[in-house]
Amino acid sequence: MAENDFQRASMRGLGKKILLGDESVEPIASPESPDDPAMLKLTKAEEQDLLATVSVAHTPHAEAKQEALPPLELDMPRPTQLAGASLPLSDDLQALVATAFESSESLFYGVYGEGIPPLENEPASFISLNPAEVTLPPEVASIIDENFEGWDQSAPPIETPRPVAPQPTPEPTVAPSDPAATPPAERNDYNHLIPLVAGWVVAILVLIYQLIKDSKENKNEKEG
Amino acid sequence: MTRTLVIANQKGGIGKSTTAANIGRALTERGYQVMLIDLDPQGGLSAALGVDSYDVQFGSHIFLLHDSAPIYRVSQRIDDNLFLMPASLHLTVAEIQLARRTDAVIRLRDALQRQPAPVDFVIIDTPPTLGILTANGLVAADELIIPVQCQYLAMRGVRTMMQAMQRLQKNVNPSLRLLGVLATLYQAESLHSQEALGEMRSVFKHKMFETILAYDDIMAEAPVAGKSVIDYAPTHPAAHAYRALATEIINRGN
Repeated sequence: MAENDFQRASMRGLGKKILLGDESVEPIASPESPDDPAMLKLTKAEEQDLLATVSVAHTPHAEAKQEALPPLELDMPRPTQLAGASLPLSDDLQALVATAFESSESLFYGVYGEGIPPLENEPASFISLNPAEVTLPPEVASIIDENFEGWDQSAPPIETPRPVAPQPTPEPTVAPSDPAATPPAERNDYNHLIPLVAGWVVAILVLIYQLIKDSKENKNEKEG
Repeated sequence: MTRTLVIANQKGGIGKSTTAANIGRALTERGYQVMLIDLDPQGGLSAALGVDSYDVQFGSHIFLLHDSAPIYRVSQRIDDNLFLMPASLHLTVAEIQLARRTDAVIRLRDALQRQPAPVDFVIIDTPPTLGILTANGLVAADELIIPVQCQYLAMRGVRTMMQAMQRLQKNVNPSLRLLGVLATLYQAESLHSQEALGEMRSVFKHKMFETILAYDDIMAEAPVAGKSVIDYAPTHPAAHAYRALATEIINRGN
């Protein structure tokens, strides 16, 4: 085998073109030392430039390429149209090819088209295997608890819907005077009354204002 | 505060999973607690730590799909400080299911916000594509590591990766930053490899990690034993390289 039967292709100087798509760079003949410590400095502006170069260098190039592409030929012949004359296949083999094409077609459109059912319609499969709903044998659960001690505390409490039926509560003997002493759940039970109370307060204030105004007007009329 | 790193490059076979496993292991040697999340349906990271993705029932696919899946039920403890959310082959189907959701690329971020792993580092390994799973990793993370093989064809994909990062920074995850570009599979005796490293350094300058991961059979052997290189051959130069890389990662976060 002959030696040196090719001219060695060098990448020197083409780093920006290869890594960032910058077409403006030219290969350099004189090799630089890759270990030159001066090359390891990068200012903030250079760092921004590094990211900007990626898109600037790429976009016009890509657009020019896109314009140059011929339109896609979409009406490709189907296997059924190819059956027989043009394909030197036995009947069995033709049937096999057609079946394979149909199944691959359904798979293809299933993946890239409309064939995938929405998540909520997914039949029982791995999707339904939510570990939160699976009861583990006690020995397995204890191993998990041991290995992941404290991990469940990092998660915020999971919101659970309120029970539909009201829970019977004992009648309070003494009304709580300190609002802070009222348990949060109990405080929340009166939240829906706030707009009603506020409405009544506003109505009473308007009534008092009107009474004062009327009495002043009456007094002025009497004096006048 | 937890630092969330993603290791991504759409080129396959360049050492993403091996790097994730060994950075994780090296950080635990320094006393940090680490959670590794495997988003690659091929399960390279899981396999590198002795977990077979063919056997995984509860893994990252469940964490992505079920809002209420507890993080500790889809994870495994590898040792005292190392946790793994393994990959399952079902991730492929999960990706298709995710594609139909409007929140497809923010599922992991939201899940980790709801249930943050109580660790110092979360390291996410991604598949060799720029699909929904990789996007989930890039959206959930604050820092990106791009491993690049010291070879021309492998380097060509970096541009797309940088563009993906730039778009996600602009539209979804403004906090994402490039932590560093990592030269992998370096062959010291190869002129081509030397040139590739030189060009990467001339472009990325201090964004290149000083640590270089040289090509070595030990990287392929260790997963056979289901161990990280650091556990498999603790005194091997490759193990020391991962330790050095972990130190750089710690320092770059300060």
